[in-house]
Amino acid sequence: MRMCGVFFMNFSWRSFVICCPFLFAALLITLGTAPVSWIAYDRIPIPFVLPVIFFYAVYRPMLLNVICVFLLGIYADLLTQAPFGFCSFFLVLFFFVANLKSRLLMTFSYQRLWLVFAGLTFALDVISAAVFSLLTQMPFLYDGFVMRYVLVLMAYPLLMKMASRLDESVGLG
Amino acid sequence: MENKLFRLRRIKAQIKRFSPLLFLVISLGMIFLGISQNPFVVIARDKVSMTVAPVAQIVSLPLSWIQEALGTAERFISTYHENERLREENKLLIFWKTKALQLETEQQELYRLLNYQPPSQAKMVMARVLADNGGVFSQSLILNAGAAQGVRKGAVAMTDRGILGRVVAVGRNTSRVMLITDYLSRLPVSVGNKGFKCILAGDNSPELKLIALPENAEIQVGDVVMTAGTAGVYPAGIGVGTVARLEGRDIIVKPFETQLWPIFIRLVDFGLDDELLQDQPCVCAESSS
Repeated sequence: MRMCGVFFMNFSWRSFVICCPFLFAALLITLGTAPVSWIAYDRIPIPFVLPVIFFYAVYRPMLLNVICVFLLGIYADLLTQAPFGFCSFFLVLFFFVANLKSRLLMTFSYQRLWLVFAGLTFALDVISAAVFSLLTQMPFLYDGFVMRYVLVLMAYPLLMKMASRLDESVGLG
Repeated sequence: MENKLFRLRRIKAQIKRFSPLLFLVISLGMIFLGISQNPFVVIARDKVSMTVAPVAQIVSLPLSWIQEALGTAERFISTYHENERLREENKLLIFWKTKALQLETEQQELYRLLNYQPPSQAKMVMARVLADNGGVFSQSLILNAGAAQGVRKGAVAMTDRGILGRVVAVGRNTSRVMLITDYLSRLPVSVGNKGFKCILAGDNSPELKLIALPENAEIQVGDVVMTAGTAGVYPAGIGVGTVARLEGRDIIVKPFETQLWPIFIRLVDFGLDDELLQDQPCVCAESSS
């Protein structure tokens, strides 16, 4: 009985550790849709999840693998009312590109890595906005585009730090 | 045996290498197959949005406090000018109050003479915005009132300034409002004094566009746009906005409610046709209207 209890305690802790990056990323997606009126534009979902996906794609692809990223995308699709598959496509694409060059990126300095992230996010934002315009026949909406981009770049150091701290605190670092 | 293991590992490595591509293809397939229109996806969306809404609100509390503090400071600075403006507005309101009372008496008298039966009183529920779904993709809000508070699908969401949208999904304690600025929103309206009937379309931007105008329509800047009452979704005569400008063939309408994210919203149930409002999935209802 006692053995059983220990097994389940260990099992639940292990499950929690494995789920941590996923739950953290899901929380960030939720935060992105939180009702806050920003100064420049009052209704923009901010993809705070991108720095975290970038971190795991480069340093720990085993902890947040492509299936998790795909599921996160589905969750974002459901939450942001985007065309189904839209967010999952771009999140998987982002993960794939970052993961493909992870060996090279790991050798980069912090500032250089930030620049790479900025470039990738910009490309992703432009492509996603263009695809969305094509899909919906709507004009390219640039109102919140710059603000959103700047906020994600500003959040990058904090979120990277949080992701690495999370790894350390749950004994994965 | 070793050879077999080696081959298996190689296959596994290949699958792992190309798995992102597989998920990219699946995602693309989902986009182009239009799974978003599937009733299951529509229901799942509403369930997820409504479940997550309270979490989003808690998460955003610190940011809301900062926002409120900034707002208070801004209001404090502009108190003097605000007072001046309110004095002027008050003078105007006193004049309109007198006028309204006079008209009300006159109206009551006319009703009595004609033996007129006024429509039943609309039911109203006040709700607070919990979450903001979308922005780039759609324009909808999650509110903290649902079926338990008497909210019904099809109720009109309004503020003191004007119409915002309508309830497209109702949960137990939450509901989702699709704003008139949503790109799926098509609202039958009448424009100006002559009441030209046309459709007011959203495109996810803060302004709206008039489409399907009659050939002989003479629209001018400043014309008031009101709900037409056709299609049975919105009742007739609710103010929506004014014609802001004419851009070639496009007629741009500025909604009365320009603040796209108000804190409190009034949900008004005008008791329209129940069958029409309750039995259709929200996306279909929106596109058919």
